[in-house]
Amino acid sequence: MRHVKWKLLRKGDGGTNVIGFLPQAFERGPDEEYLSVNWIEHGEGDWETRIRDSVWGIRRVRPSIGGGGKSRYAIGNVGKTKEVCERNGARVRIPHEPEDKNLGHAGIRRLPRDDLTLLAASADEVFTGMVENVSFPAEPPPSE
Amino acid sequence: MGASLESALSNETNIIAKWPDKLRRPSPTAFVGQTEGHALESRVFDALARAKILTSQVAMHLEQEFRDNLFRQFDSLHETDEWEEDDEPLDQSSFQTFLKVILTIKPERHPGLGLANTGNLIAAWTTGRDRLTIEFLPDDQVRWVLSRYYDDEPVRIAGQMGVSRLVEELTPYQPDRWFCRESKGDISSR
Repeated sequence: MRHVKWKLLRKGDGGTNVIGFLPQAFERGPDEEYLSVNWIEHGEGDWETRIRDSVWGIRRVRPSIGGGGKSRYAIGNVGKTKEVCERNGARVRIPHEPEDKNLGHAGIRRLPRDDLTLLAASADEVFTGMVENVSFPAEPPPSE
Repeated sequence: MGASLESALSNETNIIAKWPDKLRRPSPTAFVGQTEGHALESRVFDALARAKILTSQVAMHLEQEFRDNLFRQFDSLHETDEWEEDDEPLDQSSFQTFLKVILTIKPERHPGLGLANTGNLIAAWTTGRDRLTIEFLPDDQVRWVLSRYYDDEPVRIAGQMGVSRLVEELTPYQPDRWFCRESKGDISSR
């Protein structure tokens, strides 16, 4: 799962409705060693709970995301990621990279930085699930 | 200027009389450095103002509806609530490239817009599963990728080149399916 800012969502004609993700949503920045994602299955509970826990983990590390706004989370499958990348000539690795505040954090390594066809394939074929940031409540404060 | 004098003058004279007042107001950039939030808002304000000035210079070649939609999307892309440190507002040179492309291809359909972290503008046209995405780089360069489905198999092509070559490069892929209104929703070759 990856957080995608509003400005990197694919919109239909005139920008009225969100229909997916732009290829650039999956582009590593110049200083990023890997593409930052969250491993949903790392958590416990049912699927919805695990997604919510991933959202909370990402928000803890990037508080500017907050609980509102128009951003989304892209959800993809590990096997499909590897398959699509391999078809496009990239043998990626997706190791678990836990962070202090986000234990489910992972990274897609060896993803070519600016291969637009691969990035477009990621947007069209890999990250086919989408949830809205605003649909998840704020995380309750830790109990004493 | 007093209210009584205002009423005695023509509208045009009143507008001209108010120009010095506007100049005396501090510009958004005067607040840069006060706080991070103010600095970001100033940069965004300046970027949007520059885009609107640039657009006004070619306004006669763009339909009013297109311009209105453009500015509506710009405002939406620049809502700063969720912005992070590395986010850049619209790059002026990227926007100049966008205008050149739009004036060249004159698309009937308004693209959905996006903004790369570098501030480059991105335009997306979507017809069913067929997609065209163009990122407008500074200095009249474009970076694009298209997805077309033939018999349920995707073909993806990407390129980077000067604006002058873009139309020729896209021609084999029948770009009207993205740019023309009658192609919207066309699923004949999906």
